[in-house]
This record gives sequence, C-alpha cells and structure tokens, in this order.
Amino acid sequence: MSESHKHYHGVHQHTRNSSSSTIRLRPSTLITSTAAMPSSTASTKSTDEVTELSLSLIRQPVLLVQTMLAHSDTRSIFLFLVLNFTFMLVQFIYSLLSHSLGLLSDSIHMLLDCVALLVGLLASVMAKWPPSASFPYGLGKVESLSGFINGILLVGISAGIAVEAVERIWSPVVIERVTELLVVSFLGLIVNLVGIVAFNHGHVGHGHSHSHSHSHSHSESSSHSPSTSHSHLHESHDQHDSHDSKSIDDPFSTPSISEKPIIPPSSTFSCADDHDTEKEKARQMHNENMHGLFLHILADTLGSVGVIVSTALTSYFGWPGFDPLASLFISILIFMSAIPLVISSANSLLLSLTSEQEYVLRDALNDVATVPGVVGCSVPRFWPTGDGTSGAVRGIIHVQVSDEADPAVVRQKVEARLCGALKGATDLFIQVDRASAVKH
Amino acid sequence: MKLGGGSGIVTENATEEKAQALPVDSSVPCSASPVKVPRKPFNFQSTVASRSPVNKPNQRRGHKYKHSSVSMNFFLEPPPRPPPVLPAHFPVPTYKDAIQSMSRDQKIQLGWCSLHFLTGLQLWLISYESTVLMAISHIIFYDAFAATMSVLVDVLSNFEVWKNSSIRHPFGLQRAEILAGFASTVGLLFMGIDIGSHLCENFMKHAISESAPHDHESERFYARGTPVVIILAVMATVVSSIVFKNHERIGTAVQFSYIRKFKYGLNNPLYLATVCSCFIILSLPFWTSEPWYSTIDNMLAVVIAFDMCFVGWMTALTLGRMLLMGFNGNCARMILEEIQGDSDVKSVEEYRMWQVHYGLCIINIKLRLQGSVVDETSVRANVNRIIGDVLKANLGAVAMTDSKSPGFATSVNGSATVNAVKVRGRTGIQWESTIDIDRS
Repeated sequence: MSESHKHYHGVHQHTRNSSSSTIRLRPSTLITSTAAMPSSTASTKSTDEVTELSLSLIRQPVLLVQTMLAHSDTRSIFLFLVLNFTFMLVQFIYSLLSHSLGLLSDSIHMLLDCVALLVGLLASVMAKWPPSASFPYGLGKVESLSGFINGILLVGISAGIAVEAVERIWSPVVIERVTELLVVSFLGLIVNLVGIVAFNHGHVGHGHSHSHSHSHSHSESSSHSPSTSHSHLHESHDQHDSHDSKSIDDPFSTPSISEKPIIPPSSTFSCADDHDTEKEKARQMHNENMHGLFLHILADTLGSVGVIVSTALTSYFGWPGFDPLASLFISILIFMSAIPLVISSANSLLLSLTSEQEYVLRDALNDVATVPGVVGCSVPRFWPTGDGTSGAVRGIIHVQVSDEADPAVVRQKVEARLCGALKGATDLFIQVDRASAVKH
Repeated sequence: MKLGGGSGIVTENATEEKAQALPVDSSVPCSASPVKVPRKPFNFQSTVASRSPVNKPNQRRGHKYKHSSVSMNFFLEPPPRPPPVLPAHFPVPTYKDAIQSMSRDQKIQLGWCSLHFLTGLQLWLISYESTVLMAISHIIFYDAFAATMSVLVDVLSNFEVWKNSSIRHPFGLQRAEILAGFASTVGLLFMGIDIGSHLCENFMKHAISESAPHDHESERFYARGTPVVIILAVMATVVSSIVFKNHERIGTAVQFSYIRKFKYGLNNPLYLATVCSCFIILSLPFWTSEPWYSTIDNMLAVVIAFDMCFVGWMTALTLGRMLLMGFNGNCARMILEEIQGDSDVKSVEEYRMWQVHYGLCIINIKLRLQGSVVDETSVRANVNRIIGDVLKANLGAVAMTDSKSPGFATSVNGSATVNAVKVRGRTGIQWESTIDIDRS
C-alpha cells in the first residue's frame, strides 16, 4: 500500500516540477554538446579574408579578366564591350582625321554605350562576390540594380530622342555626308547584331514567344558552362565565390563566421541537383542585368536601322521628315520595352513577396503558432532571396513562448516547421523570448 | 514546503494541524467523506492516510492540488490563447485613394512642385546655346522631382501599407522612396555625364574645325526674358529647399562633415551651384564683355557638370548600398567585436546587418552562449546596448532621417524589438535586432 502511494506521489511531483526542472537541466546537457563542437574562435577572420581577396581581385586586372572570361554571361558582355570599344575608337580616330562632326558625336554616343556595358559587366562580376560584413547577403541584388539603372537610362534616352525628334519636325536639319553616315550606321548595325546574338540568352522568356528548340539548347549550354567554370575557380583561387545557385559546397556562400556552417548553404534553392538546370534557366531568363544590356543594344540596333531606312526614304522621296518620324517611333519602342524591365527590377529591389509566397508564408506562420509552448509570434519579416526568381525566402521572426516551454526545443520545432513549409528557406533567425519577459 | 518532499511530511503535518482544524472542518460540507476522523476513538492516523490520501480532508488544506485530480492535472485545458496575430494585409493605395486622402496643404505643395517643374522647363527651352542654363535646368528638374517625392511620401505615409510591416511587404513600402530617389539620382548622374560629353564634343569640334559658330553671342543670354526666368529658377530652388527640405537628404548623403555643418540647404553642393551660377550668369554684363561669355559659360558648365556627377555619384552610392541590403562594414565589425567581448557569449555563429531604408536597420545575430548562462534576456539586453552605442557613435556612417519623415515614427508590432537612437531629438536611426540563441 505504502509503496504504491509513494510511487503515485512521485509521478505527481514529477508532473508538477517538470516545467522548472527541465530548464535547469538543459545547461548541463548543453555543455557536453558544445564541448563536442569544434571551437571556432578565429571567426571574423574568414569573412575579412574574403573581402580582402575580393578586393585583391580588382587590383589584379589579369585575374579580373580571367574571372570575366570564366563565366558565360560575363564573357559575352566582356567580348562585346571590347568589340564596341574598338569600333568606337576606330570611329573616333576616323572622325578626327576626316574632320567629321557627325561621326564625332556618334563615337561619343558609343562611349556612353560602353559605359552602360561596363556597368553591366561590373554588376555581373560583383554579383558573384561572396557576402561580407558590408553586404551580408552578398551582392546578388546588384544585377537587379543594374537592370534598374539601365531601364531608367533607357527611359531617359527615349525621352531625349523624342524631344529631339519633335525639335527636328519643327525645324528640319539637312543631313550632310549621307554616304558616310550610311556606311557608319551599317557597320554599327553589324556590331550590334553581333551583340544581340551574343546576348540572346539574356532575353529568353520575358513574354516573347520562343521556339522550344532554342530554349532547350540554351538550357544545355548553360548547365554545362557554369560547372566547368566553377571547378576552374576552385582549382586556381578558392576565394572567388560563384553564384548562389552553384555554390553548394562553398562555405563562404553565407557569411557564417564559424568554420562549420549550421545551415547548409545549398538550401538556397529548394532542390539542388536534378532541377539545377531548370533553376539556372529560370535565373538566366529573369536576369535583369542581361535584360537591360540586351535592351540597350536593341535600342542601338533600332537606331542604326532607323537611320538607314530614313536616309533611304529621304533620298527617295526627298522629304526630310522621315528622320524625326523614325526617331519618334524608335523612342516609343525603347520606352515600351524599358518599362517592364524597370517594373520587374523595382519589384525585386522592394523586397516584396508574390501572392503565392504570401499564401504559403501565412500558412507556415499559422503552423508555427500551433507549436506547443508558442504563445505568439511577432515581427515576421520574410523577403525573397537574390533576384527573387527561385521562390526561396530569408527571414526573421520573434517567437514568444510560455514559461513552461523550453526555448531551445521550441526554436528547433519552429525552424523545422518553417523550413518544411517554405521550401528553401535559408538563414532564418528565430528569437525565442519568454512571453513574461516581453510583457515586462 | 509547498513542493512537498515525501508523503511522510504530509501526514505529519496533517496530524499536527488536526487539533486546530477540527472544528472548522466539521462545518465544511466536504467533510462528508466515508472516513470521519473525529469519530474515531483512536489516533491511528497512519493507516488511514496511507490507504487513500483523498479521504483525508485535512490534507487538502495545505495543498493546492487535490490528489484525486492527478489525472485532471495531466489533461488540464491549456489557458485560452488569442488567435495568432499575423500582420494584416494592407491594400496598396490606388491613385484615386491617394488623391482623395490628400489634404489641402498637400495639394498646394503639389501645385508648387508642378510650378517648379514648369520653371525648369522654361529655363530649358530658352537655354539653347548656353550649356550652363541647360545644366541648371536639369538640376531644377532633379530638385522638383525630389520635392514632389517628399510630398508624395507625405501623402502615402498616411496609408497603413506604407509604414507597417505585412507579410506581402515585409518592410512596408518605404523602400519605394529609396528606389525613386535612386532613379532620380541616376538621372542626375546621367545628365551630368551628358553635359560633360557635350562639353567635350564642343571642345573637340572647336579643335578640329576652326569655323565654329561664334556669332550672336550676346543675344542668347538676354533674349526672350532670360533674366526673369533665371530669377524665377533661383526662387523656385530656394523655396523648395526651405519648405520641402528636399536637399537635406542629399546633403547627408555627401560624406563631407564640413559641408554638413551648414544650414538652410547650403550643405548641398547642387544648391550652391544653382544659386551661384545663376547669379554669375545674371551679373555677366556688369563685369565682362560679350566675347568672354562663351568661355565663362563653358567653364561654369564644366564646374556644374562635375558637381552634378559628384553629388549624383555619392547619393547613388548611399542609396545603392541600401538597395543592395548593405551596411557600414566598420560598424558591423565593431558591433561584432564588442559582442564577442561579452563574457557570456561563447561565439557569434552568424550575423547579418543591413539597412532597409533611411530610418531602419535590421540586425540579426546568431549567438552561442557559454554553457553556464541561463538568463537570455540579459544577454539580449546587453547586445542591444552594444548595438545602440556603436550606432550612436557612428551615426554619420549610416544615413540619417529627420523626425518629419514617416520612417521615424514607425512602430512595428512587437515593440520590444524596436529601438532608436536619437541625436538632439531630431535625427536618428532605428534598428531592429533579432538575437537567435542557438542551444542545439
């Protein structure tokens, strides 16, 4: 009798004390678990080294050119920049020799084009830089930013062309040296057509219709080239981080200061290997940097075509109004094509979620609220990663727990649920507070 | 005592208390249990107590829980908790909503902004030959845009979606202001480069062809009421800069402390350039002769173009850093070092610090504590104090906001996490910290 009573009482006591005793028990287990972990005190050094190395990349132009040539997208920009610059230089020297004012202003216009290309090239290179103290998420957004800049510039350029066209309709300008102009614009057309061919993968998708075979062949090429370039980089100089999608085993892809990252960086993309080409294709399709550069070249091409057509029409009909009309038409085309780019890049930079992501996230947060011990959650801020095409999110959340719950357990559960619901949710920061402590 | 060591103590207590408790208990209705203690002739309490503690009414008095309700303790209903508080979905205001919500003052301000634009347009129309006037008209466009933006931000900040965090827009829409500012700054930079290239072109044209047009110099400055327009432009600039403070943020973006000390918009090089060059152009007839006009005009234009590029570049860097989710690297390192100096902190696993918009920094830190540390609240408080100290000391390094701006008054739900540094009660920056304590 008394034995059974004692036992009974013991159970009773245990249930009563469990809430307070577990918390006090935790630290002792924690000591053993942390002692097993490799201690990583030289922590800040690694990130600093990374930034140092990326800076040294700039200082050594040979390395810079090498990295540019290593990736398919930067290589095409770089080669086209070289081509464009050479053409501009030839034109400039010829204009100085022949005292041609029209050619001079055209070469200066091409210089500005080269600047835009340079911005795109730098963005493309910088997007592959590893995260640092100054840019904790790396510079993945720089391509959106460059696309935004190019979009804004195109809108400005189209406005400028339109204004000039209106001026010319009012007071027509007689064009001199027609043959020279025709030759130059024909050469420019060829250069720009080369550019369009080189950049053709920058505009795959974007609502235009494309043949199946084309996109298929592209996906093959894009899946092939990054892998080779990646291995090359790892052999030669390990400091250069490739882009998010490819850096599966790279410890620098998150600025984790410990040697052993807690969250595997590969989870930036929900599925790593089998859908890699798909993701890569999606990334290329929505690469706003390439899109912007492509539009820039397209605008130049249209300009060359416009000059050729309007000159031909003017010499045939003898009416000087064709030139401003062509300019007006082209400016409208440029404007229309730039607006989607501005909108999509602005959306990416505003860090807003799509409605699908919002739906999933609401579901996940409701799920979090049902975790045992969770009293409430506040400040849920989740935003899309990188260029926002992968559907992955990063985020922070503060969870309030009741006094009985174990914060560490709740934290793990919350993380598990969030990661499960939001495929590819990376570097979540979860602050677990006692509800009593929050309310004071 | 309350927790009760073993059953022995309980029975002892019961016997002790019996004498006093007896008269009271007999009157209590719950004493109608099968075992009536007072009726027993002998004092053999131990057997009765050990058989079933429920039957002892005395035992209930000293304890909170009835023994009979052990099973009920297991299945206690959880306290009713409020439904999860998810941020609401705020509708993005349409044009109609925005116009309807505008106050009379705001409409007047918007009207003034359009007048400002018209002044710039007028100046641009008469600036055919003078590069300086063209450059100034560009600056006025930029000013007017900035003034319009500040009015629009004022209007939009009345809407919930602007400043409140929601699932769809985790940081509200305040980043739109940064984006618009960045777009206009890119425009300014582009116009500066454009004017610079124009000047280069003119210079080269002069160089390669001696027959440059030099005639009718005096007409172009003072024909068609030019001085009146110039005076209007100066007035518009001054009024906008005093009323809308559209230059204030530009001034803070330019990282020269000695410029920042000036007041009334003088801290902005653009403002200085506009006003000074307008006065120089106006005063030209009083101190030079006409043949010099063109030279002075070109020299002044070089200065203004340089100024535009400088301001544009600095502002674009500051805003671009925010758009790229960056932070001042030195600040981040200082915060990190101080936290690692904390004796409770074993290591900092990960950190992400970045600035969302003018008035908000997001600081996420993942910590591993020393095994003996139990009190997470004090660790968090300490980390927050460190962040506050570092930000306060380096307030110039992060962009400032003034108290008028909507970013300042933001209160995010879960107010315990929002902190602010104020300097002279006027300018400051808020930060939101998420300190993830990893105990796994």
